[in-house]
Amino acid sequence: MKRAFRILSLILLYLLTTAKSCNDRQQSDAGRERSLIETTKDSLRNEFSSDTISAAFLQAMEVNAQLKLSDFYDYLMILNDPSTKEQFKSKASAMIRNLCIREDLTIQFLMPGKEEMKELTTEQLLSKAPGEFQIIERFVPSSVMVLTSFQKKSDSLYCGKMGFDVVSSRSGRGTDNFLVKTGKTVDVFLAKRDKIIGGDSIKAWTVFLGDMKITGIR
Amino acid sequence: MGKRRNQLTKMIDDSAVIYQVYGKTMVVGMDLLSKDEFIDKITIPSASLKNIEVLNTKFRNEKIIEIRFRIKDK
Repeated sequence: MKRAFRILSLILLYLLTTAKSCNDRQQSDAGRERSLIETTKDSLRNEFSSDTISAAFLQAMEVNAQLKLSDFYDYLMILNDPSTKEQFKSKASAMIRNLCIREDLTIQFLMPGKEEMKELTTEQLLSKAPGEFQIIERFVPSSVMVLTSFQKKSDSLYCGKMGFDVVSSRSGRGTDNFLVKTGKTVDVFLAKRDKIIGGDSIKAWTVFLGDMKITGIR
Repeated sequence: MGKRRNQLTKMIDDSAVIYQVYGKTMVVGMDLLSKDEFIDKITIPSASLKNIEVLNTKFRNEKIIEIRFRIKDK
Protein backbone atom coordinates (compact mmCIF):
# COMPACT_ATOMS: atom_id res chain seq x y z
CA MET A 1 0.00 0.00 0.00
CA LYS A 2 2.84 2.39 0.94
CA ARG A 3 4.48 1.56 -2.38
CA ALA A 4 1.30 2.45 -4.24
CA PHE A 5 1.22 5.82 -2.47
CA ARG A 6 4.86 6.44 -3.37
CA ILE A 7 4.11 5.67 -7.02
CA LEU A 8 1.07 7.95 -6.99
CA SER A 9 3.17 10.69 -5.39
CA LEU A 10 5.73 10.29 -8.19
CA ILE A 11 3.00 10.63 -10.83
CA LEU A 12 1.69 13.75 -9.06
CA LEU A 13 5.23 15.12 -8.88
CA TYR A 14 5.69 14.47 -12.60
CA LEU A 15 2.46 16.27 -13.43
CA LEU A 16 3.44 19.21 -11.22
CA THR A 17 7.04 19.51 -12.40
CA THR A 18 6.08 19.41 -16.06
CA ALA A 19 3.71 22.35 -15.52
CA LYS A 20 4.98 25.30 -17.54
CA SER A 21 5.29 28.76 -16.05
CA CYS A 22 3.76 31.75 -17.84
CA ASN A 23 5.97 33.68 -20.24
CA ASP A 24 5.62 35.64 -23.47
CA ARG A 25 6.62 32.82 -25.77
CA GLN A 26 4.19 30.48 -24.15
CA GLN A 27 1.42 33.03 -24.60
CA SER A 28 2.24 33.39 -28.29
CA ASP A 29 2.18 29.61 -28.68
CA ALA A 30 -1.00 29.23 -26.69
CA GLY A 31 -3.33 29.81 -29.63
CA ARG A 32 -1.56 27.24 -31.79
CA GLU A 33 -1.49 24.69 -28.99
CA ARG A 34 -5.14 25.31 -28.23
CA SER A 35 -6.00 24.66 -31.85
CA LEU A 36 -3.90 21.46 -31.86
CA ILE A 37 -5.63 20.20 -28.76
CA GLU A 38 -9.06 20.98 -30.20
CA THR A 39 -8.08 19.05 -33.35
CA THR A 40 -6.93 16.07 -31.27
CA LYS A 41 -10.11 16.26 -29.22
CA ASP A 42 -12.32 16.38 -32.34
CA SER A 43 -10.42 13.57 -34.03
CA LEU A 44 -10.68 11.30 -30.96
CA ARG A 45 -14.33 12.16 -30.49
CA ASN A 46 -15.07 11.37 -34.14
CA GLU A 47 -13.22 8.05 -33.97
CA PHE A 48 -14.92 6.92 -30.77
CA SER A 49 -18.43 8.12 -31.62
CA SER A 50 -18.55 7.29 -35.33
CA ASP A 51 -21.42 5.11 -36.55
CA THR A 52 -19.10 3.29 -38.94
CA ILE A 53 -16.24 1.33 -37.44
CA SER A 54 -13.05 0.46 -39.29
CA ALA A 55 -11.32 -2.94 -39.05
CA ALA A 56 -8.32 -1.19 -37.47
CA PHE A 57 -10.54 0.35 -34.79
CA LEU A 58 -12.07 -3.06 -34.01
CA GLN A 59 -8.59 -4.57 -33.66
CA ALA A 60 -7.58 -1.71 -31.36
CA MET A 61 -10.68 -2.41 -29.26
CA GLU A 62 -9.66 -6.07 -28.96
CA VAL A 63 -6.41 -4.88 -27.39
CA ASN A 64 -8.52 -2.61 -25.20
CA ALA A 65 -10.57 -5.65 -24.09
CA GLN A 66 -7.38 -7.45 -22.99
CA LEU A 67 -6.48 -4.47 -20.84
CA LYS A 68 -9.98 -4.36 -19.34
CA LEU A 69 -9.62 -8.02 -18.41
CA SER A 70 -6.28 -7.28 -16.77
CA ASP A 71 -7.92 -4.37 -14.88
CA PHE A 72 -10.71 -6.72 -13.75
CA TYR A 73 -8.20 -9.07 -12.09
CA ASP A 74 -6.23 -6.12 -10.65
CA TYR A 75 -9.34 -4.77 -8.95
CA LEU A 76 -10.39 -8.25 -7.83
CA MET A 77 -7.00 -8.57 -6.15
CA ILE A 78 -7.68 -5.33 -4.22
CA LEU A 79 -11.08 -6.69 -3.13
CA ASN A 80 -9.47 -9.87 -1.84
CA ASP A 81 -6.50 -8.28 -0.10
CA PRO A 82 -7.23 -8.28 3.63
CA SER A 83 -4.73 -5.45 4.21
CA THR A 84 -6.50 -3.07 1.82
CA LYS A 85 -8.59 -0.29 3.35
CA GLU A 86 -12.36 -0.48 2.95
CA GLN A 87 -12.51 2.76 0.92
CA PHE A 88 -10.23 1.24 -1.74
CA LYS A 89 -12.26 -1.97 -1.77
CA SER A 90 -15.41 0.00 -2.27
CA LYS A 91 -13.82 1.91 -5.16
CA ALA A 92 -12.47 -1.34 -6.68
CA SER A 93 -15.97 -2.76 -6.48
CA ALA A 94 -17.41 0.22 -8.35
CA MET A 95 -14.65 -0.03 -10.96
CA ILE A 96 -15.37 -3.73 -11.54
CA ARG A 97 -19.06 -2.86 -12.03
CA ASN A 98 -18.05 -0.27 -14.63
CA LEU A 99 -16.09 -2.91 -16.55
CA CYS A 100 -19.07 -5.26 -16.83
CA ILE A 101 -21.76 -5.05 -19.50
CA ARG A 102 -24.47 -5.79 -16.92
CA GLU A 103 -24.79 -6.61 -13.21
CA ASP A 104 -25.95 -10.21 -13.52
CA LEU A 105 -22.95 -11.66 -15.34
CA THR A 106 -22.05 -15.27 -14.62
CA ILE A 107 -18.48 -15.61 -13.44
CA GLN A 108 -16.94 -19.01 -12.78
CA PHE A 109 -14.04 -19.49 -10.37
CA LEU A 110 -12.24 -22.39 -8.85
CA MET A 111 -12.76 -22.52 -5.08
CA PRO A 112 -9.47 -21.74 -3.33
CA GLY A 113 -7.61 -24.90 -2.43
CA LYS A 114 -10.17 -27.17 -4.10
CA GLU A 115 -10.91 -28.58 -7.51
CA GLU A 116 -14.44 -27.32 -7.15
CA MET A 117 -16.03 -24.70 -9.38
CA LYS A 118 -18.06 -21.82 -8.02
CA GLU A 119 -20.42 -19.77 -10.13
CA LEU A 120 -21.27 -16.27 -9.01
CA THR A 121 -23.06 -13.30 -10.48
CA THR A 122 -21.17 -10.02 -10.47
CA GLU A 123 -23.40 -8.79 -7.65
CA GLN A 124 -22.72 -11.89 -5.54
CA LEU A 125 -19.01 -11.55 -6.21
CA LEU A 126 -18.95 -7.92 -5.13
CA SER A 127 -21.27 -8.22 -2.17
CA LYS A 128 -19.68 -11.24 -0.50
CA ALA A 129 -19.29 -10.71 3.22
CA PRO A 130 -15.86 -10.40 4.83
CA GLY A 131 -14.59 -13.82 5.84
CA GLU A 132 -16.22 -15.58 2.91
CA PHE A 133 -13.89 -17.42 0.57
CA GLN A 134 -11.30 -15.37 -1.27
CA ILE A 135 -10.75 -15.58 -4.98
CA ILE A 136 -7.03 -15.57 -5.53
CA GLU A 137 -6.41 -16.06 -9.22
CA ARG A 138 -3.52 -14.47 -11.02
CA PHE A 139 -4.31 -13.40 -14.56
CA VAL A 140 -1.77 -14.44 -17.21
CA PRO A 141 -1.68 -11.56 -19.75
CA SER A 142 0.40 -13.49 -22.30
CA SER A 143 -2.26 -16.20 -22.49
CA VAL A 144 -4.99 -13.99 -23.98
CA MET A 145 -6.19 -14.96 -27.43
CA VAL A 146 -9.08 -13.75 -29.51
CA LEU A 147 -11.45 -16.67 -30.06
CA THR A 148 -14.11 -14.67 -31.91
CA SER A 149 -13.41 -11.20 -33.25
CA PHE A 150 -15.96 -8.46 -32.62
CA GLN A 151 -19.07 -9.19 -34.70
CA LYS A 152 -21.75 -6.58 -35.30
CA LYS A 153 -25.02 -7.33 -33.48
CA SER A 154 -26.68 -3.96 -33.90
CA ASP A 155 -25.78 -0.36 -34.74
CA SER A 156 -24.58 0.13 -31.17
CA LEU A 157 -23.28 -3.32 -30.19
CA TYR A 158 -20.49 -5.68 -31.24
CA CYS A 159 -19.76 -9.01 -29.48
CA GLY A 160 -16.68 -11.21 -29.35
CA LYS A 161 -15.00 -13.86 -27.21
CA MET A 162 -11.51 -14.26 -25.77
CA GLY A 163 -9.67 -17.10 -24.11
CA PHE A 164 -7.17 -16.67 -21.28
CA ASP A 165 -5.51 -18.47 -18.38
CA VAL A 166 -5.40 -17.77 -14.68
CA VAL A 167 -3.06 -19.37 -12.15
CA SER A 168 -4.03 -20.22 -8.61
CA SER A 169 -2.44 -22.05 -5.73
CA ARG A 170 -3.77 -25.44 -4.58
CA SER A 171 -2.88 -27.49 -1.53
CA GLY A 172 -1.04 -30.69 -2.25
CA ARG A 173 -0.30 -33.62 0.03
CA GLY A 174 1.21 -32.53 3.31
CA THR A 175 2.01 -28.83 3.37
CA ASP A 176 3.09 -28.49 -0.25
CA ASN A 177 1.22 -26.09 -2.49
CA PHE A 178 1.23 -26.28 -6.25
CA LEU A 179 0.04 -24.02 -9.01
CA VAL A 180 -2.93 -24.85 -11.17
CA LYS A 181 -3.55 -23.20 -14.50
CA THR A 182 -7.20 -22.73 -15.40
CA GLY A 183 -8.37 -21.95 -18.92
CA LYS A 184 -11.26 -19.53 -19.19
CA THR A 185 -13.30 -17.65 -21.76
CA VAL A 186 -14.78 -14.20 -21.48
CA ASP A 187 -17.45 -12.61 -23.66
CA VAL A 188 -16.42 -9.14 -24.74
CA PHE A 189 -18.65 -6.32 -25.95
CA LEU A 190 -18.13 -3.07 -27.75
CA ALA A 191 -21.11 -0.86 -27.01
CA LYS A 192 -21.97 2.77 -27.44
CA ARG A 193 -22.46 4.40 -24.06
CA ASP A 194 -22.68 7.95 -22.76
CA LYS A 195 -19.26 9.18 -21.73
CA ILE A 196 -17.93 12.54 -20.56
CA ILE A 197 -15.03 13.33 -22.87
CA GLY A 198 -13.35 16.70 -22.91
CA GLY A 199 -16.16 18.12 -20.79
CA ASP A 200 -18.90 16.99 -23.21
CA SER A 201 -21.19 14.00 -22.99
CA ILE A 202 -20.95 11.88 -26.13
CA LYS A 203 -22.03 8.39 -27.12
CA ALA A 204 -18.65 6.68 -27.35
CA TRP A 205 -17.67 3.11 -28.21
CA THR A 206 -16.64 1.45 -24.95
CA VAL A 207 -15.39 -2.08 -24.25
CA PHE A 208 -17.17 -4.16 -21.61
CA LEU A 209 -16.66 -7.64 -20.20
CA GLY A 210 -19.32 -10.35 -20.12
CA ASP A 211 -19.73 -13.87 -18.73
CA MET A 212 -16.53 -15.71 -17.74
CA LYS A 213 -16.48 -19.49 -17.96
CA ILE A 214 -13.96 -22.16 -17.07
CA THR A 215 -12.96 -24.29 -20.04
CA GLY A 216 -10.37 -26.55 -18.44
CA ILE A 217 -7.87 -27.12 -15.65
CA ARG A 218 -4.28 -27.85 -16.53
CA MET B 1 -7.25 8.77 -1.11
CA GLY B 2 -9.46 11.87 -0.59
CA LYS B 3 -6.55 14.33 -0.36
CA ARG B 4 -4.83 13.06 -3.50
CA ARG B 5 -8.12 12.85 -5.34
CA ASN B 6 -8.81 16.49 -4.48
CA GLN B 7 -5.33 17.53 -5.66
CA LEU B 8 -5.87 15.79 -9.00
CA THR B 9 -9.40 17.16 -9.37
CA LYS B 10 -8.00 20.68 -9.01
CA MET B 11 -5.02 20.06 -11.31
CA ILE B 12 -6.98 18.54 -14.20
CA ASP B 13 -9.35 20.71 -16.19
CA ASP B 14 -12.94 19.46 -16.48
CA SER B 15 -12.62 19.59 -20.26
CA ALA B 16 -9.30 17.68 -20.34
CA VAL B 17 -8.81 15.05 -23.02
CA ILE B 18 -7.28 11.96 -21.43
CA TYR B 19 -6.24 8.97 -23.45
CA GLN B 20 -4.44 5.74 -22.81
CA VAL B 21 -2.37 4.24 -25.59
CA TYR B 22 -1.45 0.57 -25.90
CA GLY B 23 1.53 -1.04 -27.52
CA LYS B 24 5.19 -1.70 -26.81
CA THR B 25 6.93 0.07 -29.67
CA MET B 26 4.00 1.32 -31.70
CA VAL B 27 0.49 2.35 -30.75
CA VAL B 28 -1.87 -0.56 -31.40
CA GLY B 29 -4.83 0.68 -29.43
CA MET B 30 -6.28 3.59 -27.58
CA ASP B 31 -8.94 4.32 -25.02
CA LEU B 32 -10.56 7.56 -24.01
CA LEU B 33 -11.03 8.22 -20.33
CA SER B 34 -13.15 10.74 -18.52
CA LYS B 35 -11.43 12.84 -15.84
CA ASP B 36 -13.06 10.75 -13.10
CA GLU B 37 -12.01 7.46 -14.71
CA PHE B 38 -8.39 8.66 -14.91
CA ILE B 39 -8.38 9.83 -11.30
CA ASP B 40 -9.90 6.49 -10.22
CA LYS B 41 -7.17 4.65 -12.14
CA ILE B 42 -4.29 6.46 -10.50
CA THR B 43 -5.65 6.64 -6.97
CA ILE B 44 -6.43 2.97 -6.51
CA PRO B 45 -3.52 0.76 -5.33
CA SER B 46 -3.69 -1.68 -8.23
CA ALA B 47 -0.82 -3.79 -9.56
CA SER B 48 -0.82 -1.78 -12.79
CA LEU B 49 -0.33 1.54 -10.98
CA LYS B 50 3.44 1.04 -10.83
CA ASN B 51 3.48 0.54 -14.60
CA ILE B 52 1.67 3.73 -15.52
CA GLU B 53 3.83 6.01 -17.62
CA VAL B 54 2.62 9.53 -18.36
CA LEU B 55 3.83 10.21 -21.91
CA ASN B 56 2.64 13.75 -22.38
CA THR B 57 0.71 16.48 -20.61
CA LYS B 58 -0.49 19.83 -21.89
CA PHE B 59 -1.45 22.78 -19.72
CA ARG B 60 -3.67 25.83 -20.06
CA ASN B 61 -4.09 28.37 -17.29
CA GLU B 62 -2.04 26.12 -15.01
CA LYS B 63 -4.50 23.25 -15.43
CA ILE B 64 -3.92 20.02 -17.31
CA ILE B 65 -5.98 19.92 -20.48
CA GLU B 66 -4.47 16.85 -22.14
CA ILE B 67 -2.88 13.69 -20.76
CA ARG B 68 -1.51 10.82 -22.79
CA PHE B 69 -0.38 7.79 -20.83
CA ARG B 70 0.26 4.10 -21.15
CA ILE B 71 0.63 1.12 -18.91
CA LYS B 72 3.98 -0.48 -19.53
CA ASP B 73 3.99 -4.23 -20.07
CA LYS B 74 4.98 -6.13 -16.95
